[in-house]
Amino acid sequence: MEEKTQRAFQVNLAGIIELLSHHLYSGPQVYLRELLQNATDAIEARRLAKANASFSGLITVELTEGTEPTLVFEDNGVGLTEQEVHQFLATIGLSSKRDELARQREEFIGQFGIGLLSGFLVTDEIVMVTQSARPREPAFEWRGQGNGFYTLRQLDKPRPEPGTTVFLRAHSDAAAQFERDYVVHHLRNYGGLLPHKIEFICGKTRQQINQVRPPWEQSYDSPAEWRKAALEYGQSVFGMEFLDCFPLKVPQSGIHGIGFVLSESPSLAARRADRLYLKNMLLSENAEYLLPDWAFFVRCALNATRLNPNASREGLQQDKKLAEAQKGLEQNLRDYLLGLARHDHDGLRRLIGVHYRAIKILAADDDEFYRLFIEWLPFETSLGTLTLPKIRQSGAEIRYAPHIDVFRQLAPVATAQALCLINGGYAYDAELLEKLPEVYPEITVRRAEPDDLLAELEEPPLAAQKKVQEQLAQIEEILGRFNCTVELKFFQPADLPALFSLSDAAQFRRDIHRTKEQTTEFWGEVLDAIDTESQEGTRGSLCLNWRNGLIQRLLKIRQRKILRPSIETLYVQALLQGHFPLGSLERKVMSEGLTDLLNLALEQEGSGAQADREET
Amino acid sequence: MRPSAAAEVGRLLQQAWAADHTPEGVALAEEAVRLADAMEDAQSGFRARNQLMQIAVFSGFYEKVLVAFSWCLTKADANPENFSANALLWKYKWVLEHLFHFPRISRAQISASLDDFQARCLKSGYSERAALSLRWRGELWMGNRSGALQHYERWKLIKRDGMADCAACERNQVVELHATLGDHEKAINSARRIFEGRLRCAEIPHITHAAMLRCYWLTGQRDLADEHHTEGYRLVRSNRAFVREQSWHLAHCLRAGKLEVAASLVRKHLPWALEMKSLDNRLSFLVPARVCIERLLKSDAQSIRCRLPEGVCPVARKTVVPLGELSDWMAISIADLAAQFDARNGNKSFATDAANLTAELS
Repeated sequence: MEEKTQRAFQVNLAGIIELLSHHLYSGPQVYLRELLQNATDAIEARRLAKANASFSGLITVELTEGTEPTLVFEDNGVGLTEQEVHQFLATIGLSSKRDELARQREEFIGQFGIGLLSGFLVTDEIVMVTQSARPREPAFEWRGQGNGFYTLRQLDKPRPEPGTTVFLRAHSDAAAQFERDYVVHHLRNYGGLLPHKIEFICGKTRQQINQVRPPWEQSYDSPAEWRKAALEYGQSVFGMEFLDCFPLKVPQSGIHGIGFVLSESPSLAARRADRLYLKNMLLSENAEYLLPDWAFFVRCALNATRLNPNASREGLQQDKKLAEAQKGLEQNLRDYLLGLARHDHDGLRRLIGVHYRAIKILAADDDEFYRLFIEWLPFETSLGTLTLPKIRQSGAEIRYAPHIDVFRQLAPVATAQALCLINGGYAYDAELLEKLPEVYPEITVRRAEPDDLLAELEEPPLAAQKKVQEQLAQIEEILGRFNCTVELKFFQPADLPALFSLSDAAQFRRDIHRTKEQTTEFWGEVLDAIDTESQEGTRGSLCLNWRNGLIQRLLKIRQRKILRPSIETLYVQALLQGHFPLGSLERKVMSEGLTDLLNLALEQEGSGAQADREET
Repeated sequence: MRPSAAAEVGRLLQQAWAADHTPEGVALAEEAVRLADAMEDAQSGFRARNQLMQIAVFSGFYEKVLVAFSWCLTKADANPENFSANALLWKYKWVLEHLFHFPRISRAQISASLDDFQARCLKSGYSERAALSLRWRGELWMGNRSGALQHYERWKLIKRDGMADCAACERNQVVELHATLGDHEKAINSARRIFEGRLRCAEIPHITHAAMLRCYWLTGQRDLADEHHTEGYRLVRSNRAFVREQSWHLAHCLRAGKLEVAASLVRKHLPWALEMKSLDNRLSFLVPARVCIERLLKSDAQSIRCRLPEGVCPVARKTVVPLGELSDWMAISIADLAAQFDARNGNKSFATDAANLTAELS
């Protein structure tokens, strides 16, 4: 037996372990992936070299539980010669594979030679026994220590079969990473699609990890059968039912997979959870940047063979290959949606019913999709949620409120008047509406500020308006200190005495004003400096309802001492009804106004009692 | 607050979160703020404003961040047992980043805010690094290059801490510094790690793609500039927080002679630029947009279909805007905005930069 030769790694192993555990990998479980990867690479290498159709790769993972659990990873791959051991293990960053197979480098993704060293995340010593597939090569035992030294010795006899066996004993902090359920879960997660048999052995139990092949590797008699199998696969992988699915195929990237349509609308802020395999090894369960931003209603599971992993092999390099793959996947998605629009209106209706937001984003940016989908997309209106054909029934002019709060101010009145006002405050809605005349030249689209809609409300008869002109002037003057104008209109519902409305600019100015009341002088001056636009259109508007009995009586009041508190209280009431927070002046007016009105009522009561006594 | 009102505030904030960084999200958060204020619930108002700031800053509504922040900071300083001023430090950075962009906020006010922020950082155990970063970027932005470099050199010497921007953002800031100073090769080298995917965050490489377009173009790497335009524009096209980056993409399209694409960018993003209250973003977009309008006029186009805010742009019609009037108005607006910023900054950098860019693109 050749004597052991103690050598040192040519790099700072402690530093590498620090890099692996704290900066490179997402967690210690990756040691299982790296060992699987090395085993897979070795089997691939032997398969190619052997060019023997009957060669069958096998990976076994044997766990021995106990106080010092151990894991034994064995493969029947190409194995290593002594020289390859020195070269492969001692120099970090070298491409991992053998000279004579360099031309088949595309078959191996172990470009990063640190794969085996990931074992040091969970152990203090890695023992590897390897038998090269090359003829007349001896077997070697390699022992690597966490302190940076390794030994290599030739074994007395060659092993009967080529391959490599890696022995790991858990260090004291890594017991959790050697628990049976943990090992099985991660082996299945990472290696579930690997083409070579992976067997897990623990005590008397032996199970195959990767039995189920994904639908894109199988053939089916009909699209309906494919769809059924794909949806079942999606449920098993993601743990949820999907609304629909479609194939993903990008030949130039070697991509095959399935896109799944979520059955509920996700939040725009939700993280992607796409499942990406690279050459059948799981690369990521949260792959981002695969699908376009607007495809947040889709989750995908796919395998790629021609993309480049990053250093940790938990993500992809942001390179041209990825860009091509992204383009191809986007085209797959677009083909699916186009297919629905052209051939499956029921399917389209179901999809839009749940995912109209995503389709709106797509339609806003893409003219072809805009034309195809615009008539299907729902919009919130004062008459309920409607699609374009129904909206058009209310007239050739389409009105939308540009902001959600403006819509909420005006919708009740619009509804009562049976006017169709669209809520254009949702992302992309205004943009989609503004584009309508490009497709339907007969349609006009109008952005409606509060004043615009109120201007459309019916006015009382001229004669009646003349009678109350002076009153209105007084009311306007009373409301002047609140930066509010007054209008007199005739609208439903009759029991609504007044409506307060604010344009967006007026709302912002009001927010600044209220905030200034509660901040320091310094910040108050800063806020003054950001309020840059002109005063026009920044006043609130109190719209009095001529239909309402209270307003009718109010407009007959001559005495200012009664009119002022009445109007001011009505104004504050309208603010509260519209959920507008009160400024300090308005709060003061609210309490003083109520007091004044109470006093007036009591005075009235007092005068009435006096008159009664005098009569008697 | 009544339980039902408190629940309504919570519900609105959840909806706002789900709407992500959009005007809708901002509107929902504002509604939550107003409801909390209407119920006179300061705790809910503080919480709602914090969320409003988060959404507004990433959607381009910087003025709303400022309004909400001033309320929160005042509340926290007056009631430290109930509201944490420390927790507002990160948002204070957002505010300070955008203070420069309102020309009526004076240098004295900016300086006082920076000093206040720095003092609070030091009191909380952070270094002056975050404040220095704001100072050098602010001075650079205001056209005071020597002042910027002084702060920059000091900033480089101080170790990162919990108040520093993320590594990706800091790297991008250095990229932009070199690009602004005309050190294109240094900018290209600095950007490398970002484009290799080793540094990224919510806004990087989105901003970096745009920041590098001119560098690649001027160093003769036009294909690379095109690639970064294709990749970068996709990342920034849907969010009005990126109006400045959209203006750089527009400038690239003009350099590359892609007038139709440039016109489509103007149609889509000019309304956003004019709606922004942070006027530098408006100015950034107006300069290349006017060049585009002039080129369209030369190609015999008469008008452009675009909904412009009438309160800001008096020549706006319903949807079809006459190009000649628009160009004239833009020229006046550019001159006016540049003059406002130069008056505040005490130099002529904005007017000079606008003139230089116009000449370069014309």
